[in-house]
Amino acid sequence: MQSNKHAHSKLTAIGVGALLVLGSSAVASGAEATAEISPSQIALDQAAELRVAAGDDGRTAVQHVDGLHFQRTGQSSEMTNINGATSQHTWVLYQVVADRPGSYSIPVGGHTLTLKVDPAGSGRAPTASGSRAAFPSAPDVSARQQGQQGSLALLRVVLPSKKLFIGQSVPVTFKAYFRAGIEVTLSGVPSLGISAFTINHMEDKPRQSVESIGGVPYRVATWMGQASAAMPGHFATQASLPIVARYREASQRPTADPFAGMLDDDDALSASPSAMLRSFMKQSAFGGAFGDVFGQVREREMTLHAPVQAVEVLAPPTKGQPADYNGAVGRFDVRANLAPSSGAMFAPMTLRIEVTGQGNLDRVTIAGLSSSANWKSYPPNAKLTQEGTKIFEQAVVPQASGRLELPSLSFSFFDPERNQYVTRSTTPIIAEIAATPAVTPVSSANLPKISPSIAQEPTAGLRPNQVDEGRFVATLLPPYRRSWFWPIAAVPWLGLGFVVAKPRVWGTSERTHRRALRETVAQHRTAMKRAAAAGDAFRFHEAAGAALRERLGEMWKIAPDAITSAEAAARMGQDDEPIVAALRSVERLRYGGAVEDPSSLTTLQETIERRLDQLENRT
Amino acid sequence: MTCARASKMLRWLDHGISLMAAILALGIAGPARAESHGTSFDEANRSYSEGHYADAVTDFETLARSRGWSAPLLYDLANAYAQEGKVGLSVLNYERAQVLAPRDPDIAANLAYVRAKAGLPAPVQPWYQRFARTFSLTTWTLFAISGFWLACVAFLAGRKWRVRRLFHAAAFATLVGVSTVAAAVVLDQDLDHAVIVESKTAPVRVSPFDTAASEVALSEGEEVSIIGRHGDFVRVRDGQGRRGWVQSAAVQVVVPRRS
Repeated sequence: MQSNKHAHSKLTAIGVGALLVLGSSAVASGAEATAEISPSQIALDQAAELRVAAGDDGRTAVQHVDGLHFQRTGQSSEMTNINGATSQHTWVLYQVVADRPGSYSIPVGGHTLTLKVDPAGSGRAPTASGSRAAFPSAPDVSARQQGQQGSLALLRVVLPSKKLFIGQSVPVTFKAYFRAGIEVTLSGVPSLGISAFTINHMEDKPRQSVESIGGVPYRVATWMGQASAAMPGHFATQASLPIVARYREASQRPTADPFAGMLDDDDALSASPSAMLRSFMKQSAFGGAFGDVFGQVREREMTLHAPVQAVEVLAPPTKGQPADYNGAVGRFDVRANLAPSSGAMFAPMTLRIEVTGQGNLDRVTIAGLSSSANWKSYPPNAKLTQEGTKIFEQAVVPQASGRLELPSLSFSFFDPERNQYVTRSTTPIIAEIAATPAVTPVSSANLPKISPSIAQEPTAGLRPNQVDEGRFVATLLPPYRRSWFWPIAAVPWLGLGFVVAKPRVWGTSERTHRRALRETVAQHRTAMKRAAAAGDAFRFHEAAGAALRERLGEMWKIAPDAITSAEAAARMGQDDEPIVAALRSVERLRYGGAVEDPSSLTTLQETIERRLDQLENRT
Repeated sequence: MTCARASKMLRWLDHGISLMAAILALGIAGPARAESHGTSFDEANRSYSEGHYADAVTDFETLARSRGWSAPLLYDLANAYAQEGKVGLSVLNYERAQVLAPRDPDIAANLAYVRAKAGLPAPVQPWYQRFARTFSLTTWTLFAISGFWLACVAFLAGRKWRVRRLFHAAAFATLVGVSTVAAAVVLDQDLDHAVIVESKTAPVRVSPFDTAASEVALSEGEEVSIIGRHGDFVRVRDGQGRRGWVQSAAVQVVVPRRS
């Protein structure tokens, strides 16, 4: 794509240079003449100027050379007086372009000139206007040198640098050239044709001047502005300028449009250089069209296109980027002052921060002073002066009294020339603050003296707006008037009530019951041991019976008092079971008054203890 | 202890409680509102700074409808109304901003300025009301609920481990909770406060009918308490204790029951 555009630019350069020439296409011959060609070496996409001295009959003798094309572009005369003898010489000017690279010999009269043609793009470095244009960077000088003249209208854009950084601002100049005699109305302002660039501070009305190119006067419209890149990448400028041209068309050639295929006709650009050049020469439009004053006046809207230029946009490096860097590119300086220099507590003051320097001041932003224990600050307002200074004015309110220091403020930017980040700081400011009551209505007299153009005026006694939006709530109602509050508030009370009321409401738990049973049985067993040790058979059997009944009652799920020896025998099916025997002994002692032998108590205790352990494990 | 240090401590305390409130609100009630569409807070402020106060009012109101209320939003809205000369709406929104941020000096200063400029008397507040206004109702409520939570925990811990001091702590926390409830009750009376917003003067009638006689008139921006309702009228009591009926369209309550 880029190569196609480049090729188009070359072809257009040749085509435009060849087509926009006044005069006939005839290459005369026959007359003897001296000649010179300049330069003698060109690139394929460039043209040389051939000057041939005309003979007495005003004719020249330029012969056909295979691979070269000659286009007569004009004529000049000079008179020489040597020792009273006056002589006059007339020069006929030709533009010479080649079909292919090589070394050409051009026979002119008795002379032979040599022209060396290099491949396209290998010749002298393209000028600022690019190789496509018939105009070099300095049309009034270089055009004559290169013999590229004769265009009716051209647009040229000048960027001082082909490598920019995002946010960097560079001057850009658009120059539109119009041949004298063409009535042109500008229907817009020129654009760079790259969405990644923004043009700022462009003049609405161009400056007008007249420049002479190859002896041909041109009216020049010049716009100057600042180009700023917004995104990184490789770009090609496609500058354009919409115009409306009015010209007089020759009556004998109603179809001849002098601009057709020249300015905005892509088909013309797609042809080969030589074919296009021959096509333009055949048209010979302007010589006839503007020479015929009786021709028809035509008006046409068209767009001038400038030669394509490659521009590279780089992002500022991330390495070494200061924390407070916010996109400023250039070279700046910063200073601050406080007005008034002394004040009273809670009385607003104005902190003025000025940034000067070279660069895109539009991108310069400063957060200003942050609120602290001693100072309450409001967001700064910014304005850009015509002198190239960006001024930030910030209302600051002292929150304490005494000698308060406004700390230094830093500002970081990227210096594209030094290719590094630079941080500048202001000097700390000391202010004498007198003590006053805390919250007093602010009167207009002690408002900060912020200049009317940028302040949040008319504040008329009101303190400025707050810029921190704060935490949003759906309602101003207090929490206890909202539905979710009381369930939350009730949780601890419910928990407390649950803990306190649980035993009463739900009774003793199974675990508690078993623990109580275990404790009861343990008490009976202890009593049993003591009775055995003391030889008290009655107490021993009472305790043993109680312990056994408790265990059996738990196991059979009946009341302990309902268990008798008969019941136990029936349930256990064994008359000789020690448990049954123990219960019978208890019943005998309790109800029959029998006396047990104390000597057997120890043995009986061991047996009952063992059976109680078995019952406990079973349950 | 200097006044500044005390103020700083209060501010930190308030921030902590506000954080708790935010967490609680997010957990229970979800986000306040959906994100705004279109108008942003910065755009509204830009309109204000450029002197387009009507646009600023519209933007702030739009923002309030889409995202809810915040103290800075209400304060900025009140400023915009003040610049437009709408004293009633300005006072109303300063009052609302004070509900959320009762100690903000900007709100207090501008409210005092607007009242003074309009010739409105500043409401006289007894000491307990001034004390209650140290924190917002939300903060007081959270104090209370925190106190009761702590009391429960201390009571249970004391019961479990039989520690007498924990019972004392529970009693103290209960006292804190009860005190803050009292403060909230005092402040809650402000919820029925309203501001005359609709017209320069609102006639106070002896009965809730348009044909009833009017003895006095209230000024725009004047504060009243609503003590009754009937049809399109509300019964109000002004700062001097006078009572009467005014059109309900002429007043707006500081804390609306519905958002």
